Amino acid sequence: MEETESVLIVDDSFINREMLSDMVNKYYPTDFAEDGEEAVKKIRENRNSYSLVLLDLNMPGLDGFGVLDWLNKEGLIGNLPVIVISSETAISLVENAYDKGADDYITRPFNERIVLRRIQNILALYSKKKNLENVLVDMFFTKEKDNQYMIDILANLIEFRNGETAEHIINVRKITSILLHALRELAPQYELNSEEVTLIVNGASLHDIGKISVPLSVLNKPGRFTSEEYEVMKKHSEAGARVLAESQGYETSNQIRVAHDICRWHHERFDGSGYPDGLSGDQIPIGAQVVALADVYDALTHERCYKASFTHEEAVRMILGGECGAFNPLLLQVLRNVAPLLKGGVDNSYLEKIESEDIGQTAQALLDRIGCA
Amino acid sequence: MTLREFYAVTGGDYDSVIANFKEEERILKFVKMVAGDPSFNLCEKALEEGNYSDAFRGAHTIKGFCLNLAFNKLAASASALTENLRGKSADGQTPELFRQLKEDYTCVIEGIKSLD
Repeated sequence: MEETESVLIVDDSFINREMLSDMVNKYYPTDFAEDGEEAVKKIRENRNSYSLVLLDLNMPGLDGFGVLDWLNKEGLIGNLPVIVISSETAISLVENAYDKGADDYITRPFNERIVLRRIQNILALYSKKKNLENVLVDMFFTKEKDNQYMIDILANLIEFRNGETAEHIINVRKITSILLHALRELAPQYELNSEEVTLIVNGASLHDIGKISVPLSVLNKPGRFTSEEYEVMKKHSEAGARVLAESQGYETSNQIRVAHDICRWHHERFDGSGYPDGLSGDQIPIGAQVVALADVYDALTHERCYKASFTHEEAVRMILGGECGAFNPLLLQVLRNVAPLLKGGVDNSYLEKIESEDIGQTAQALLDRIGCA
Repeated sequence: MTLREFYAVTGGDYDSVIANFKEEERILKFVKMVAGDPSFNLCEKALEEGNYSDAFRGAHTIKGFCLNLAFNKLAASASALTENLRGKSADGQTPELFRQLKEDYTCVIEGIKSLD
């Protein structure tokens, strides 16, 4: 427990608060709430100030059960330990308190040594659980970062053959990440949780791996393609998807499935005019739609062997004006929203922060799923 | 009156409370707080107004601190009234249960005044 963390004593009776504080404050700092509403207010405003709550049940206004309901709603049960202290001994009330997530239930008259021992035990248990969670999150974080590095190495190899720098892959990844975070705010219907965002951002690095199948004479040709050469070039999206579909993990790995969808469909267009399958609207997976936009923006703003570069303003205007194919109107709105972030290059520290948060949240979600948290 | 005598007069259990709190000084501090506690007045006023929810809460609070201070007689009468009012309504027994609570409560308050 940190020095500054207190035990919050929630009881409408002054005598009860004083009696508990007298027992506890030799070992732990205490703070008080005179009813449920005050407890909720204090915890909401200073969540990290409290290590444990001693909670009375019968209080005016919001009672102890109401406080437990609120803690559940806020996702704090399991993170902030709660010991109910009450003179109620009816088994239905005790069960109800446990069902709502109370860690322990102490009936009156309570014994000083027992109260202290139970507080001590529960704090020790929570501390061990937190340490275990931190170890698991660190392990997950390291593994996820290693995966990212491996994916980027593979992607850079392909870009190297394409005669382009690794910069394009890195940029598409960054822009995809920024677009996805903004889209998550604007359009919750896509249900982009942190795990899905991480999968799409990783998959973005692999969007052009199918170019390995395109002959160098076509791949690195300066100027415009003939129609035959364009047909050869177009095959890269299916080729990349095939590599992934034939990989061992395709059936079981969400990462490979998401990367496959991005490879295959990042040249589809919202109006159905793209390739290889002519999908339209939200038939195109949202990850592929976002990577397509990131790919076009980065290609426009950088020089290629077949074209000069455009400024940020020109690129945004061309995309919004429909000069580079049809995109989802929601994504165009996202592009407008994030344009200031993209101008002048992406801030790496911002990106590192949002991606670290995603990995952390994904690890936490995994812990929740296996019942560790 | 000594603290031990006070507990004998008011129907409390001195041995039990000293075993828990260890020092008389600590017990005295809390016993004296009882005189300033508003729960009895809350209960009495609420009963007069037919507000059985607040009356229940008042009786319940008295029961709570009495259990911890080993005021066994007052705890028992507070507990009986608490159970009577649990459904947030009164019945024919309520006046007698409150009378008993008042008698035991008055005994404790008078006893507190006589403490050394």
